[in-house]
Amino acid sequence: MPAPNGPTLVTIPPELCRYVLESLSSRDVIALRLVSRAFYSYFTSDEVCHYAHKLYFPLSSECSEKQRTRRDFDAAYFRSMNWKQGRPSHVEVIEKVARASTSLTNGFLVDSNQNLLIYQRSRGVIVLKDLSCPVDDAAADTIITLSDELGECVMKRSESILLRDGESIRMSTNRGILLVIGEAHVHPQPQEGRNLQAAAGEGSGFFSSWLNWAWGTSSSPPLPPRTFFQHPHSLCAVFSTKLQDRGKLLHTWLERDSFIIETALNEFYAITEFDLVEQRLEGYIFPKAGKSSSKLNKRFSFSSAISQQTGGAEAGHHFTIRKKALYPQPSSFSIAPDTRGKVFYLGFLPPSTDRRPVVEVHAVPQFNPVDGTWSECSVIKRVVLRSLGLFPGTTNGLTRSSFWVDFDDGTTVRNIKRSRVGPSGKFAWHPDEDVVRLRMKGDLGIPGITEEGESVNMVTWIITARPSPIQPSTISAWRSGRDWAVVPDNIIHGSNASPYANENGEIDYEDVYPTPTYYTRPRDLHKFINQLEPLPLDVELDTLEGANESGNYPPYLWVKNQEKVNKRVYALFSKMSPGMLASSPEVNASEGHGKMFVEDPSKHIAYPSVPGVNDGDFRPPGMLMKTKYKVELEVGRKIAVRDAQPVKQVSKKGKSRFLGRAKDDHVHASTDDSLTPSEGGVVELPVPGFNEAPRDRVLTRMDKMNKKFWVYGKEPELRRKGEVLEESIGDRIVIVRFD
Amino acid sequence: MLEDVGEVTEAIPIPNVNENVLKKVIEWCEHHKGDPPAQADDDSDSRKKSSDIDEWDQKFMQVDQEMLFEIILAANYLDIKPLLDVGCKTVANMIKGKSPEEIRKTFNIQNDFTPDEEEQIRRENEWAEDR
Repeated sequence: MPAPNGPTLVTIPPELCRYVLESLSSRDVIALRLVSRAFYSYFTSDEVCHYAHKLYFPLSSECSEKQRTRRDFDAAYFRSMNWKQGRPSHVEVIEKVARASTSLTNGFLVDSNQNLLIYQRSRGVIVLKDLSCPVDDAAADTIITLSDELGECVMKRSESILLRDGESIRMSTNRGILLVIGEAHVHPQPQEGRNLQAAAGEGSGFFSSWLNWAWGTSSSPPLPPRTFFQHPHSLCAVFSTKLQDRGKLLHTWLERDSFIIETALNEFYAITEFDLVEQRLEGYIFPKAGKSSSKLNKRFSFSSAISQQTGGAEAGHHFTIRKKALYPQPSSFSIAPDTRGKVFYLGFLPPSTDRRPVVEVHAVPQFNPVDGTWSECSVIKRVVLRSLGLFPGTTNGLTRSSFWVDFDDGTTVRNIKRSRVGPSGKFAWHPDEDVVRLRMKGDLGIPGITEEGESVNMVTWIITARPSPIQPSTISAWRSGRDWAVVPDNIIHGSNASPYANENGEIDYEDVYPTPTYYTRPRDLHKFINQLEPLPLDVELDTLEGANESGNYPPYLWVKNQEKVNKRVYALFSKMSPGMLASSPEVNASEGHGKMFVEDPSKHIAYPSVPGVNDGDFRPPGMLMKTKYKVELEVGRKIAVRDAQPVKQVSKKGKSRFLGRAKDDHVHASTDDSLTPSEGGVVELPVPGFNEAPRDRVLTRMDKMNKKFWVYGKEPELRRKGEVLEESIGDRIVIVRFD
Repeated sequence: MLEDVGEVTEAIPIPNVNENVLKKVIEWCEHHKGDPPAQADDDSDSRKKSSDIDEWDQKFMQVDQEMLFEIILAANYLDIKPLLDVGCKTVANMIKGKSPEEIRKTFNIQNDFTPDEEEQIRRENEWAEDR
């Protein structure tokens, strides 16, 4: 075989080789290494591996390193291959789990950024398990015993609502912070022998006692006055989950309410929606770290600070938004944090005829050191998401069921490029800008868009934290038809000035009219699955998963095959269609409401000439995402569990694919190739469940970016026919590792 | 390139492109002269699809590998991005999904690993194989 004389892949300029790599997969890079010495040297060089790593595993943890090496690429590739093929390196089953932990959406938490599993070992005993530490390294676990940290109040139970162990403590986490809220309860009888001043009903006495305890000068927490404890209340506490001070109690406060619905949490504040009856948002701005005494930082009580009017940013701040009084009822309601502690997002979908989702960006109160006061919580931007138009009271050609709004978990700074496909054809925000994605979910058939048996099941918008050029009105004024707090004269008198124009007269149309993305799916998923294309060879699964994570695509959906429960599940991936949906400007809103057509995305989209003034009938253009690909997974097969050792590899003959591509050249369909049980025992590779929303009472947390682990909750197992169980198996958490 | 050198009346030497390759490049340009200008790809989602090569281009690129790489180099030198795109995709298609042995055959590459080296590298990369 004559060796090539001319240029080759490894002798052409590196930028051309990189261009070729863009059309290849990570597996191809590994194959190229084995071609010859020159190829081996070239494709194992740190320079090429650095590029390949960024190209194929853009979201892996190693990508945060400035200089990535061959070792980093190999590690990411190794995990990816094992992830796709169902070759876990270790499976761990945690048996000691508080009852009912696995039946709640927040019964246990996984923070992928911190590589942390957070669960209750037993009621009130929280374990922070570092998943990046070696398997079975119990020393790496951080244990928080709530009664030791917070006293017995956090462990009190409600007499009227009996929650199971795992349900009585609510937890949420974000960005290195863990919020724990105890079960709402009352103390109807005065306690004897402790805190007589409090028992006498003097609020200030309680607060000073509370302060002493919170600051560490008293060994036990005080009892609030009888009048306080005769009302339902919950004890709230914030702990650090960051590596440097993991498990440290940072802040505590009492919430005089009974039930938490939703939380927006970051390291600067917690905003919680409490009580199904009163429906209000309580905002707690944490004291600034490092500017006050260490004791204050260690334990802080909002109740005490607020009561005693201790000043400054060091004291933190509390504010309330009366949701029920201010916002249309009943609304679907959602809140989300930012990343800097400057704003939070509030989304709502009003009831009945005014069913346009609205997102408000609220400025978080800021401390003014000059006059020692805190600013009000004010709306700095209000976006009416008019994409679907008004939902008519009658169906009027649309089939609709209930929709609700929700923000993506964890608002992010979107420091990635957005798809160039969009009405303006350019990026609509600065890469460092805080953005949030609102999702409206439900089931809506739109004639002309959805086909028979198909529906739009989600619409999303991305909204920036950028304030409007002029301040929006209060929510009360807005509901009365007034959009702006103070309207400049030139706008009042109907000139061509838009309230959305900045001081230079520029309008960011995508900010004013966020591009909706419509996700359609068939109603009969199982029938639809058979018609879907398997993932084609030239589409990299890593790329699709990466796109999912980076926000251009919706989270993929796991679908169980009901005929073969526990054997086959499918992940459905969407593919952005080339078409763009735009509402026809000629359509009469009253008759042809909702009618849309697909047009060439390159066609210029005509925005209203004066946004905010003459845009009543305008329907922003949108993008259509249709489910196109499926990836088939095999689950439920037996896999050997060995401590800290990779499981035995399957022989070529009996190989099994776990995240294989069905019906293509890569198919390896064998379901009866169970691994030989090792001495470590055997567990079933569990069903992933649903990624978007936990269903079937099975929770799943997948570290899709790093592909290091899956974490599952397994509910107590039922006794099956003919089976004898000596003891019932309670809630368990299963950790499947791939690193 | 013409933009770079400005207005000229004399012939522009192209020392890095030989006659045969230049003829191929001109043939390609002649065929595609009516094509609309390509839109710039600007984001991570625009990963090239190696199968996106039209039939004429596929036949055009059925040349020996030396010529194929020379066309890629010429397209790069002459800054003809669509031709560079087709060339790189063609090379990628010749690699995609193949085993090392198949890649060697495709590109006439000698396996110069010693048996010991090959065994060692295979062991080293055993975990990476598709099973």
